Amino acid sequence: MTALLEARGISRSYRLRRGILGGSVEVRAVDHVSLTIERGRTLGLVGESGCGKSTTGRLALGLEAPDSGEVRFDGAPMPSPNSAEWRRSRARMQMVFQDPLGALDRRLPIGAQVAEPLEIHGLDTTRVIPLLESVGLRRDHADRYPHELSGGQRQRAVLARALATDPAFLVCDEPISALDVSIQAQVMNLLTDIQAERGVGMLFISHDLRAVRQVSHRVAVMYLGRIVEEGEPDAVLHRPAHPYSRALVSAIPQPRRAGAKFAPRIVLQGDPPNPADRPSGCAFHPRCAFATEICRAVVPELAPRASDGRTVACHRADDDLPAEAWTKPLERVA
Amino acid sequence: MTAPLVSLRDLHVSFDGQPALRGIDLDLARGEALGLVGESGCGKSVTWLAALGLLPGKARITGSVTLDGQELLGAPTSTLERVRGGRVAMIFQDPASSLNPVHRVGTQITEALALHRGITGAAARAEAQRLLDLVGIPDAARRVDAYPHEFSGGQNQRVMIAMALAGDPEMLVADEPTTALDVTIQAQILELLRALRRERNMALVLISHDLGVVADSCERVAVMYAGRIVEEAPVQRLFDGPAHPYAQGLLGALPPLDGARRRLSAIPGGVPEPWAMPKGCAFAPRCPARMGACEAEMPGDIPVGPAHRAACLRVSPARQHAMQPA
Repeated sequence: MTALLEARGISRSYRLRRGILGGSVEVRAVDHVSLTIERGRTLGLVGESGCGKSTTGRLALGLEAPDSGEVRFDGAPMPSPNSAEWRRSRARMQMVFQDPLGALDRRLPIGAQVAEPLEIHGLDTTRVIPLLESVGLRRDHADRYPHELSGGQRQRAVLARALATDPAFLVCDEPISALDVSIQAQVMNLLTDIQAERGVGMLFISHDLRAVRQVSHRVAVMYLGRIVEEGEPDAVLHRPAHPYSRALVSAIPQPRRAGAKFAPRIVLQGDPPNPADRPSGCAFHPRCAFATEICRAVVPELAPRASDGRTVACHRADDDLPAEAWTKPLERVA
Repeated sequence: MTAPLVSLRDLHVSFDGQPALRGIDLDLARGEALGLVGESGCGKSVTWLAALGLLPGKARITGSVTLDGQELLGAPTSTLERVRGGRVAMIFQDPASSLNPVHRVGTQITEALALHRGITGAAARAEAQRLLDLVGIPDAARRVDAYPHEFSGGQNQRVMIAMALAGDPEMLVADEPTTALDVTIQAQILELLRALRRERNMALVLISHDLGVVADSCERVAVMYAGRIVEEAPVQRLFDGPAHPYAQGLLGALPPLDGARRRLSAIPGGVPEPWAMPKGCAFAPRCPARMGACEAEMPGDIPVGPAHRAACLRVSPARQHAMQPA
């Protein structure tokens, strides 16, 4: 059986003008990314701002066509944006955004907004109330306007609208980052329930490793347009292979329980590099404690490493890299 | 015990008759790091804006705020201006909008130096450079002449911290200082705050919605809900045995990093609106352990253990560590 969604070596570049008189530079937002999402499973995509995770989501949904590479949905190539076939395919894949208030029309009651995709695709509009109830909203919420709902209720309304056409694939782009902690838990539980009931495949984009572990079956770590590591959430979180994943995991703030032993916190020096000014070789090498000559020259390929088969893009994936190396002060990157 | 640096007593704030703070009692010792957690709208920022006289005129404030025994509420502007930025500094979530985009960062820091320490001219410039270097801005000598837009988000927050340090404060109030930053940059800023606090014996109030951030950086934590402190405890105690059902709920809502994946114990419903505040405990409508008495009157503080109090009728003083997070 084919995977629900498969992206093979997709890349997307944008032209960015520098200054008022300057020429334009090419920014490679997504660079040779391959990913697979199975039916009823969630792939978590983590990384810092500007690493290309949202662009990857838009490419996976077919909202944009990749410059190179291919996205296949249900075994067939993704139709080109705005074609009739593409419009029909919208019913089968949907997106949930970070800011629910921005994603809803402030002048339309919730019920009308949930009914809209049903009207567009010629489906039964009496399903609005059951849809609202399936995401934990009440019947009377249909007549309310977005500003009359709380943040959590708005995100539920967005989810009800996304689920209206019974999609097979959902891209959730930072769906919980704008919400309070207790509401985040409600939405994560809801996403898990929806998946269990409807068997949707999900791409869950987040910078929050805790949330990604909670909802995902696999996780991919992105750095500057490329996937640097992929695997089971617990494998990646507990034994991260790529030095960047190690730093990311170590940066999760958490209570330090008395008596427990902790590896020293890895504090990366410098900021994530500018995608318009990509370092040569491995893009992470200026911030990496283990970088050698080859890392500065050659881009590492994402491949299973010899020791345990973890998919990682690092020249030193099979070397024993001591944690102490991180505590040495690194060269500062301006 | 020595006298606290800052003391808040029965602090009430309301906007247009709607209560925002409903009686805050809180002490902060010299050099101590206190975390203030709670969800949006619970009043954690308003508490310190009120304490420093930074709220708009329509806010009605009652109670008492003392710094080293000196009353700040209703104090003349000249007194407050010496305190703000001098003895107490504050940094905010979004550094880019706190900095003036049309002035060089060096100029903005020297302004604070002139105001609070009377340093001007070349000495001020040298001190601004030293402060930028201290907060980890590379190549400070050159960057002192840069504009905020030439810095990244994390570096702008470092500049804000440098500016806050300009008055050599005894206390820093950091309001969600890392919320707008990436995880690895957040780690850098928290590390910087920790180091500065150690070196200067500076007290820190860290306001955050992120329990992890507070656990990581603070010694004591106060949990706020609907304008009141519902639990206060040393960080370790709160994480090992939260007493208030809201604190338990917050911890249970945090996805674990290891162990079996469990369904998150989401707190049902939402925070009550200020115009529809329940008569009794504000958390009662969402509380799994609610009793009849909870809806009748607002619970007072009940001691749970050493330096540990909770405002919940269900808490019995003897129970100590009995209740564990789900």
